[in-house]
Amino acid sequence: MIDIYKLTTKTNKMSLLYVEDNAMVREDTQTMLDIFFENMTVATNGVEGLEYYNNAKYDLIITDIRMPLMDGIAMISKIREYDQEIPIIIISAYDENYNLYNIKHLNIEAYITKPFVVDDLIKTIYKVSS
Amino acid sequence: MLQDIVEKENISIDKDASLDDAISLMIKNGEGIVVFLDGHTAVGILTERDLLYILKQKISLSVQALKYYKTSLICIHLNRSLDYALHILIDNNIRRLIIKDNDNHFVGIVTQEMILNYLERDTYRIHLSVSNIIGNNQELISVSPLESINNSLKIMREQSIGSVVIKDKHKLLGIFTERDLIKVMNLKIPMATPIQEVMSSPVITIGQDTIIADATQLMIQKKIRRLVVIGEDLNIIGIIGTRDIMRNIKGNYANLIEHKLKIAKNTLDSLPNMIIELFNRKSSHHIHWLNNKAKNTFGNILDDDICTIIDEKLWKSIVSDMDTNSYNNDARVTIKNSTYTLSISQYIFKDYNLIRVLFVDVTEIEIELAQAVDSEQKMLEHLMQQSRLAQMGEMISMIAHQWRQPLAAISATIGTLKLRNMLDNYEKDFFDKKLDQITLYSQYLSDTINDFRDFFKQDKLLEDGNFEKIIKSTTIIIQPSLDHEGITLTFDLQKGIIINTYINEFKQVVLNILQNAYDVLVSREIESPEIIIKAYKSTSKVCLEISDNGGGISDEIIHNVFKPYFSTKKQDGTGLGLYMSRIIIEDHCKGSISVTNSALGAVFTIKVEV
Repeated sequence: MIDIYKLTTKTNKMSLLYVEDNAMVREDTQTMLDIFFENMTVATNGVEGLEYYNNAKYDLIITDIRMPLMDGIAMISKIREYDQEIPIIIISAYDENYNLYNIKHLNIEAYITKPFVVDDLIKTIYKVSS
Repeated sequence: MLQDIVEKENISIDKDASLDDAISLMIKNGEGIVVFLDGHTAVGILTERDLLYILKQKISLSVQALKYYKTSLICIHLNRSLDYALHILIDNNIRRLIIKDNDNHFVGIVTQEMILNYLERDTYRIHLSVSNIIGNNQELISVSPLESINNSLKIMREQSIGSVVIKDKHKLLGIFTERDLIKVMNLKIPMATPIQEVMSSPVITIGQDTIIADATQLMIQKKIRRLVVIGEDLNIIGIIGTRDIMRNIKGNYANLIEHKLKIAKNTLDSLPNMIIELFNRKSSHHIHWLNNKAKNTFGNILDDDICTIIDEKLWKSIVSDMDTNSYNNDARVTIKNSTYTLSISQYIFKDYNLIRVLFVDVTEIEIELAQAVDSEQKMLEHLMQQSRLAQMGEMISMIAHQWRQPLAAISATIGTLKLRNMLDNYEKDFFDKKLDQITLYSQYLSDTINDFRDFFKQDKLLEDGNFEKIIKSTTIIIQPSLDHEGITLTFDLQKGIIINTYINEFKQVVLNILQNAYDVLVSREIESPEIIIKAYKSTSKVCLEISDNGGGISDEIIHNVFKPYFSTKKQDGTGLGLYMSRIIIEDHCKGSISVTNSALGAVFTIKVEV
């Protein structure tokens, strides 16, 4: 069992960049992620996400894939050009599953499908934080 | 019918014509007859036989011929039957009849030869030979070759015969007939000239065993009326003429016709079709004969009016069609659960106008036809079903898009509540708020389901609908899919248009076109993809244009897109979407659907009545 108190204490010291285009999903997910990450920046597409990433230091990125202007995969590819370390979690719809083999080189921490079970997210965040 | 054989050319001459002119015309027409006309009416007739007597009186050929006609005028109507004419000719011992029409106007003549020519070969009774009908005791009148024309004619007059043979001892040299006389008169040959200079020679002879049919054939062929009959020892037995043949076949012909009719009726009796014959009178059509099959079906309806078995209104329309020759044998009647078409022919027998009605049983054909129509209908329904299934498949992916975001939101909200629970953070207002939110999302999901379910409800009735609403309620279904692919949907809809149509079917068509546009824009990876929906009213029609910037449809296939099983989508397409769209718009909504290419892409245009 993961001690959620301990986990949140740990994650609240981390900074998160969360990228999601759909407002409805973004707001509700943000409310949930707030419990883990008091220090969270929210972007609504890949271009915005990349801009935030270039202007600040983050410990974790959580992103959707299908987004206007620049999608999640394009954004991650850009980031991986100079940053192999930062953990990245994808939260995306089932039918948007990219062939995982094709994005193996992007070194994705976890791939969570929407709608998700919160336990999966807790495990992933735990893994990243330790 | 006499009108089929009547001779009209070069027969008549004005009543004031001279003998000379009349003789010239006789030679020209080759029939040995001239009819004198006063206006349209026949007033006299001059025959070869008359010439014999005219010559005796030594009359100048330049006088009016009409003064000297002898032969009585026997006129009959154009529409009499052949056997009737035959009777008249034989009973009156004449060779030709004058034919007149209903207004008593002269039409032409009919001669023995014409009738013989027309009668069928078997009328002559094939086994009858010349010797059977030639009189044995008949004395053959002959003259010597040096006899004068004048004396020869005298003999002919005295014996009341139309020809003499010219013999030198026992040798047959020639024959002199009335026809030769016309020639003599026309050429004004002196009457003292020896007969051998004007006779016809050589004489056309036949053996006594020649069958009559062949003898007749020979006469018709040689255009002569007499043949000299020769016995086995080459002696002349006698002369046989058309008149002899006529006399002989008189009874025979009538018997034969009766016999033929009987055979025909027997044949009709054994046919599986019902046949009814009617007297064709203007006011009534009574049944005068029916075959066995018809008797079995209708019972004893002899002498009943046809309208006892065929609807009066239908029969009247058939008769009026017959009168204008426009009846196509296609009238339908149903009798005792069977359907028949009526084949109708008119004919004349023994001066009666008859109508023959043939009942052609088309019950089986009708059933097969109905089955064919039924199976076509079923096929169409099957296609409809297939198309609907295909569209449902597409809709399921649309539902997936519809539901993805609210489901993600719900799972996030539940996640939040679960985490708060783990942290023992039970802030009541927050929980209430989040639970309400989940209820709201559930409601949204439920509404979506209703939208889709309504969409596939079968339209039973035409309904009035606000056009803008119809379009918007359709696009709401595909909107999330479009959003997902970044496709812009632009509306240019005239407000307040109300249409009366099968709304759900119409929506399916719109959705199908939008889905196609979506597929093209995504598969061709079009930059700034866009779909524009434009609607406006013009006169009594509503025009809906759905255009995209997907590059359009290639010219080779644009004509095929509305055909069944035509698809550009390879495995993904059923090839039914646009076909069914066309069926819906054209057949159900009584409108039109077409496609053109703009500079940017395809433009689908639907026009329906308001």
